[in-house]
Amino acid sequence: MSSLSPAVIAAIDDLELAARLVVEGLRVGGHRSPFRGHGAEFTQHRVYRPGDDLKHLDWKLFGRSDRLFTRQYRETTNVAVMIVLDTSASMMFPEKGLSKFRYGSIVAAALAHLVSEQGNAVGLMTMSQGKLAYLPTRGGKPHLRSLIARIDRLTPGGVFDPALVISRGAELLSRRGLLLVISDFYDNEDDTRRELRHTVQRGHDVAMLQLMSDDERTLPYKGQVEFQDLESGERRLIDASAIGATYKRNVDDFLKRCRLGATRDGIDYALVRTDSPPERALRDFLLRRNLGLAHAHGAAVAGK
Amino acid sequence: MIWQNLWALTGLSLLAVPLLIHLLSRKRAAPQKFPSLRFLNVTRLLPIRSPDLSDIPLLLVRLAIVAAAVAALAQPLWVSPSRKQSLNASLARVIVVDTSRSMFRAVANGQPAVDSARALAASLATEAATSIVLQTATPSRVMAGAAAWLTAQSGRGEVVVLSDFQTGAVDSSAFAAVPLRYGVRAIPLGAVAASYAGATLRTARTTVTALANSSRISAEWTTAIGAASSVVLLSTVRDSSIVQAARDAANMVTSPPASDSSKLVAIVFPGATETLSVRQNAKAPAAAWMARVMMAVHDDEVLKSSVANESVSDTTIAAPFAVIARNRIGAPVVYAVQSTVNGNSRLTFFQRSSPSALSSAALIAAVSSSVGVASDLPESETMALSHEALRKMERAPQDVAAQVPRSDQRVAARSGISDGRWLWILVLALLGLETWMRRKVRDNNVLEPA
Repeated sequence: MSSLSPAVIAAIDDLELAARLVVEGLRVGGHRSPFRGHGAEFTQHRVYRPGDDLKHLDWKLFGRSDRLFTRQYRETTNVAVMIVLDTSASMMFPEKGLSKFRYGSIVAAALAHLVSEQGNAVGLMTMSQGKLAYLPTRGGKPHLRSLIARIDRLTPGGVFDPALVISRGAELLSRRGLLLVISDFYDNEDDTRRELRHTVQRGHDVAMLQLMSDDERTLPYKGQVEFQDLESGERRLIDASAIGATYKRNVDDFLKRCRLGATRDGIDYALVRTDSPPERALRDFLLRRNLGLAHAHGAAVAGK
Repeated sequence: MIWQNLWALTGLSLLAVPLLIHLLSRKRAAPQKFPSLRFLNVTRLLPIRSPDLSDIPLLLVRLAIVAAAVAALAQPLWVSPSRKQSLNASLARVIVVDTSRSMFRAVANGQPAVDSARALAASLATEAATSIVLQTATPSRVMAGAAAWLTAQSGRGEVVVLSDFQTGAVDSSAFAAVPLRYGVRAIPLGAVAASYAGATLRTARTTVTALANSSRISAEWTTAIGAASSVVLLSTVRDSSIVQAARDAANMVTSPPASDSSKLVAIVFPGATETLSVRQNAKAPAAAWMARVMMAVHDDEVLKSSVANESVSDTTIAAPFAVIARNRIGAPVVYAVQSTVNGNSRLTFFQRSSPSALSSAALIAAVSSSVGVASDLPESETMALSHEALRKMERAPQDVAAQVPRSDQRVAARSGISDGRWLWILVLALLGLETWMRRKVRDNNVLEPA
């Protein structure tokens, strides 16, 4: 099955169908489950990260290798995945074609589909009309359908407090789970990073999917353009031709800051370009995640 | 192609408006919604008014809209063969019937020529789509009016003159008032061609008997000495001979008028014994003919020039006396009033100069000619324009398509014909195209990736 282009995906109104198509595309070649939790049955080691529960430290391995590893266990119960979806107005870009919000919705629905199919629990945390909107982590197809329907009903715009949403999402994960944040991470950069760090410190696995459209990365405009901030409504008259290089440098710095911050905090980070097919972006993310887990597992094995 | 409102084409100057709009309009910065302005630093903006013409296709469409609208206002008329045939089928005709005295002479059938002319005019009138019959004793004077009436009509036009065409009555100069695009026909009614025994013109003091045939005319003038005149001259006894001399002099310079006994006039010279009583009975002229005579005498050029050099003392003339003539310094020389003279109410002129002055004779001549009946001696003319001369004056009416465009601007306007509606449809279509192009340009400005 070939990748579905963003244009085709954008033309599919049914979010569940779009998500299923994306998931079908992911199945090609098969894969291991990228969602590993803590369980009674030991499965692998992982490099210790600050905030990890000390009781899972493998002191014997530390004695042999002088390096700290955390034991990981196979979940006897399914892992819980909480998806945080950014509904801020900046996600409405681009106005024509597949917006970041729609792209994020499809990715979120596809991930929920994938997680649920593998018997895991999945939940949703976001904001709608200025209020927190969430579904607790549960398994089962009925829950999956209601979650996708909930995502489908979301409309971007209004107030979105990423720190609050992440914080409440992490709280809703009753046991250690995966907090998957899908956003452009423009809002409250410092607060968001701090809250993500706290979530990691609570022992949750955290992944960042940063959505960027091609136009906002490259600023392909020419001449004088009156830009209007989608969130604040502020207007600014800019000579787009003159500012192009500076803008790209600023954006690259921002993305680099996000990536380095995530790496430093032990967060899985993936930059997703909305002009690439969603299943390809997801496959890359999941493969990288598997690889990271394998590395952690390999390191743990090598340390034994 | 005929432009019925040629002045509307001046609206083509409006073509400069879209041109100026394109040259002077500032390009609006393309609005663009964007996720965040945090990475967009403020830059120095350059002027965005472009000296070059932008959106050439849009400009061309706008120019075409203005041009088509102006052309539509000018009410173009495309003269197709069928339309040309239709227009030419309608003929407007002015029929001028000569009703001068000579036309009342009997022609071959024993009827007056004017009756034949009227019958023929009625027949000619029914042949034309539109017609008008003008009956006048002076056909040459109505030509301009006939041409004006034709200008207001649609289709072709012609002027038909029914007359005996006495020499001097109607000639080629009279037809010059009729534009060349209109036809001219001269139909002679042969009252003049036949010789006649003679015409007699009688006036109060003069009888003129004319004997004529087709080749020559002879006239005999007889003046009745001492015949009664409607003009009474009042002077001192001493001046009576001088006054009579002035009257004779006046009669020498003017043809003897046929006096009208209903128009009684008196001229009072200085020193006349009746002066006081005339003045006492003076009142403002009450009859219309008096006013006409006063105006005629006032406008008499000979009197004006002769009075100018008269030297009289300046004085004030008060109502009901009206000044008729003044000398060079503005002093009144002749003035008039209505008064009772010899038991009759008369228009009375007062002459302040001597009876021996030139102005006295001029005054008598002016008064005599103004109260006289117009002589109809010209009607005794026996010479008529030849048929060859008449044929040279005639011409056929031009077809509509061959006429000067302006001539038929009103033609189609009155017939309600114009091709302007097609241009208005074109304007509407172009407006739609312009709107579509404008929106397209605007949309392109919104999303304008490099």
